[in-house]
Amino acid sequence: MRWGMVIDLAKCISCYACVISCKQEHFLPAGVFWSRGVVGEVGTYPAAKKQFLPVLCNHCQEAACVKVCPTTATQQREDGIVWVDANKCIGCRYCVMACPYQNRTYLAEIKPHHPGQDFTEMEKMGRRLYPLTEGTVVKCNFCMERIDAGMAKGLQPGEDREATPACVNTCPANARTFGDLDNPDSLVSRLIREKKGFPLHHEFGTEPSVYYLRY
Amino acid sequence: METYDKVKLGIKEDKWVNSICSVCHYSCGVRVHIVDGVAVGIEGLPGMSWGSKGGLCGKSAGQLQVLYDPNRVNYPVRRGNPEKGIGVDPKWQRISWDEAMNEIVDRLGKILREKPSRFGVTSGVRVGPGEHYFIASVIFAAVYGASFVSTGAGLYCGMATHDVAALNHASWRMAPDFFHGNYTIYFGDQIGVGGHYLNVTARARADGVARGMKIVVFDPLCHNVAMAGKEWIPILPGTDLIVALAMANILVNELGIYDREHLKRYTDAPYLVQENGLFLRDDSGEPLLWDLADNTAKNWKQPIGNAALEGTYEVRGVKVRPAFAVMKEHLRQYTAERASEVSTVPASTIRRIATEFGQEARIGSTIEIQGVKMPYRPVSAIQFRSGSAHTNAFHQQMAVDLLNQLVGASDVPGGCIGYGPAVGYGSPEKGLPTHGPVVSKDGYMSVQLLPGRTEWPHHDPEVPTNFVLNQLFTSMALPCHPFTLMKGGPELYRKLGIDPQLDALLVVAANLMKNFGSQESVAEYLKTIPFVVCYDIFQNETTEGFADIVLPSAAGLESLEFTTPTRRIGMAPYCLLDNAFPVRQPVVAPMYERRDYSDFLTDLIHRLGLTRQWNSQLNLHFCKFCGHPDIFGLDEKLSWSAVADRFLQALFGPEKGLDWFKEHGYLAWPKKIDEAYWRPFHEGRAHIYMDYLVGVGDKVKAICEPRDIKIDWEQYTPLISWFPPIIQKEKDAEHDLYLVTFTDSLHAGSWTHGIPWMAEVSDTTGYHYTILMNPKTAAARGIKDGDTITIENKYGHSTSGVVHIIEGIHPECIGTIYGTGKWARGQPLARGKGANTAVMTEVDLEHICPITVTPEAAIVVKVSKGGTSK
Repeated sequence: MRWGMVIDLAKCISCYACVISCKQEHFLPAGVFWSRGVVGEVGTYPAAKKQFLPVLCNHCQEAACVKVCPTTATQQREDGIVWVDANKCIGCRYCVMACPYQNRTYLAEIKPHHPGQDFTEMEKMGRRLYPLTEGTVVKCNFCMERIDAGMAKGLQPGEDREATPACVNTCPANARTFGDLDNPDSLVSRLIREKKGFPLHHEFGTEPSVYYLRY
Repeated sequence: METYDKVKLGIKEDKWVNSICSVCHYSCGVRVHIVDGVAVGIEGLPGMSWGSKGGLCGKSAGQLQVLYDPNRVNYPVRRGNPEKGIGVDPKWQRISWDEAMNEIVDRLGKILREKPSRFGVTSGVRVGPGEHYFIASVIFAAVYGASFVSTGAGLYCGMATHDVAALNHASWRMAPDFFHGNYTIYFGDQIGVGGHYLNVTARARADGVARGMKIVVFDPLCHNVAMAGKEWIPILPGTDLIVALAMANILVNELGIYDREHLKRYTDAPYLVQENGLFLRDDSGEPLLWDLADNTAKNWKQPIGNAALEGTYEVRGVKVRPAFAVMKEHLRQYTAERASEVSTVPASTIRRIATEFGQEARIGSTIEIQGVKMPYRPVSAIQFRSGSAHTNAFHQQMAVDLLNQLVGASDVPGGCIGYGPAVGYGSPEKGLPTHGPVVSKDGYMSVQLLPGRTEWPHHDPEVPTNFVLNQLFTSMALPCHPFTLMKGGPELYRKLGIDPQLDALLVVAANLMKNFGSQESVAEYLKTIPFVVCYDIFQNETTEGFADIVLPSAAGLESLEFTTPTRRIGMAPYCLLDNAFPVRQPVVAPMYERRDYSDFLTDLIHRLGLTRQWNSQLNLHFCKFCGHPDIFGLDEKLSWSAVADRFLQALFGPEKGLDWFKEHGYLAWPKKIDEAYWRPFHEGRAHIYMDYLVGVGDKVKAICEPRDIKIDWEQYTPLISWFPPIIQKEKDAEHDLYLVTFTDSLHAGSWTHGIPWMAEVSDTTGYHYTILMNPKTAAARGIKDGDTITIENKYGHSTSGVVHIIEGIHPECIGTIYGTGKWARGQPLARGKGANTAVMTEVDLEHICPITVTPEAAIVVKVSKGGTSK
């Protein structure tokens, strides 16, 4: 079993709901994003076109971040999810430099969303429910807490909302699909096969678990 | 899904509460996660057809942050600084609710006894705290006899769209049928991508795109609606009209593609037109058609064998032609080449898009859905505020819809769908009554979308007695922006014999300084009002500059709202998505001294001695409009929740009162096929020829000309015609660029710029707090990416901002998102970000559509390097 995601770029509308749902789900502090949007353009006027690429940790099979971690804080589970054990992370940031996709963040300080003002009640509750550790590296973990809790209840990630990453659930355009890449009959496998899904920068050789569908 | 150990963390309460969102017009179903009394999560309700069926946009998630924002207004405050104006520090002083209420009751009570019309109420349309703020304000104004101003109408509203949608689709706006359509043209719209109808159509649009639906976008800016495989066609603002007319010309005169059966039966195309431009009518005043079956003229009420669309006939000694024939000849002047010169869209592109549209319309084809066979027209052309917000707004919107009417793609599968929906057959358990278009004057369809207003026929223009000029301009969908029309002083109102002075103004969840144009004029006017009370969740440019008292409003997720589904103005399930009746409930109790506006208003009403009038209006707005007997006794003093409970029980039975809705969130039931695609099942015609405008224009002119009031009379013409927007006339060698504004899915109005998640994401996009400019435009002026520039309009108003150079913008245009350039202290995260276009948008009689009063939203500007970057 290897969890993976497919993002259909023809469906994506650049609304950033994925980015914000991720911040909500993990109570990420000000300035920290595990899911981002990369904005650009192709072509020249009048044949120009705005481009938007939603990005997150690719949960690479050959993850550069795992290889360079000196403490094994960054590790890969059997289901392919790459995660950071904050208890082991020493904040050396080798992984930040090693990630060719720039999808890791060093959490120097947990800052409130209102600069110069106190943490809100919601932010304080967030720290209780989802502790983050200053001085460690953080990143997308495919909402592994949802996957684990959901599977413990017999739910299927990618099919049952409770066991599926928040960004997939919230997408107003249904552009994201989650499932098992090792299962050739899963929706993610079929989409990749039938619609020629591709990872970002295949040439990096890291074998990402996040695929995109071209428009 | 709880992903934490409740026992270990000592959590006592962990629950999800159903409610509905209040951030934009749409009101998506949501559920909110509450842990020990704190709202910590929000997501779309999976089974709810109001919204993305489980999906949710980012700004809706932002409601959570709004609940706990430390900058919220939490207590009543009184102005400590007698000076008022832009940027003035109000020096707020906290007061008690009792003190605030006593002063409000005293002052409003005095005005009520002396001259109620000198009290004004103005309310935002739903954005922020919720729709019921708007509806309750409408009712309050009626009860009091006050002037009412909607702030949703105007700069950021599709005024022309609402009028044309009502006339031709019995609805509030139009949408493509993404479920069955194959080809849609956006003439300035972003349905399914942004704006306030995002969630309900986003998944349908995405699925349509994945199915192979082609999307063509005419727009000065290549933004999210034109990304990723959609065709972007750059166009100058305000010229979509001539492009649509050229496409109509190509369809009718070059390709001969038009749906004769649709035009004959469901439009006024066969009505006979005299040489003077008016319909020929019989002795009873009904328009006549020519029946080819027996070569006689008949009125529209008589059985017609085969109505003529072409030819010349003599009836009662008068030479007449069908309206279609007149229009067909009229369209010949709009060649693709002429449209190209005006719009900069290549003639070959106009011809290609018209041909693709006409061929894909598949005229004559049918489709069977749920066992019902119907016409199948998988094309649509749509426009909303951004395309139509010009001085030619009415003709713009009519020209775009003409494309739909010509090919019969009107409220049938695949086509342009009235979005409301136009037709409803009620719920299975009595509930909402049947509603839908009826045949009315001259055979046209008529619909009632709002209590007290029938969309056809428009009432006759009258000398206005109120500074909300909808008595004069009868095609206005909502009363709008009188403050703005005071540009240069209230001269217009003096000419009309209207006293524009207000003794008090209640501003409910609205920011007049950012929602309107003519910012300086609005400011000067607000200064003349001695008592201004604002009811809001944040301090903003209006409260800080002009309010005497600010009252702390509950936010959407702190309030109770049941009024939304009782309206028929676009906020409803789309196409065949289930019908639903959702109720918003507070997911947490209002914190500090915040109060739901409805509770404040109910208290105020009773204290002012207006209880009987209030209950009478509740019966009118809720019971009568929903086809139900009156349920509110005139002398009852009911709380807002008691009103909700009684109303819900009346509609859905005693077991489905407020408690039932609090538990379940909403009631849903399947939509019938002829509710979604109603055109083949209902009589009543759409307009392609506006005979009525001649009479309306004459009457408006008769009122205005003796009073030395001039507007563009020429647009009161029956044939959809090209009228250059005023910006084309204003552009010259010095002021050589058009400034266009836009929005996206992250924002609704100006206040969302202060929500942390919205603000920090917007900081990363490059499109939010910049001035977008084409590289050629920049190079010609020596401007580089990141430079600060000053933009100045022809009237000496200016703003400044930082340039972001992109290829996806017309070289004759610059662009910026609206709602930015805020200066109020109330939302620090939004303060000083981006350009302030509201100060540059001039709204006067020259800068409005003379039919629908849509303000011109594009601005002719010159740019220069330098300025104050904020």
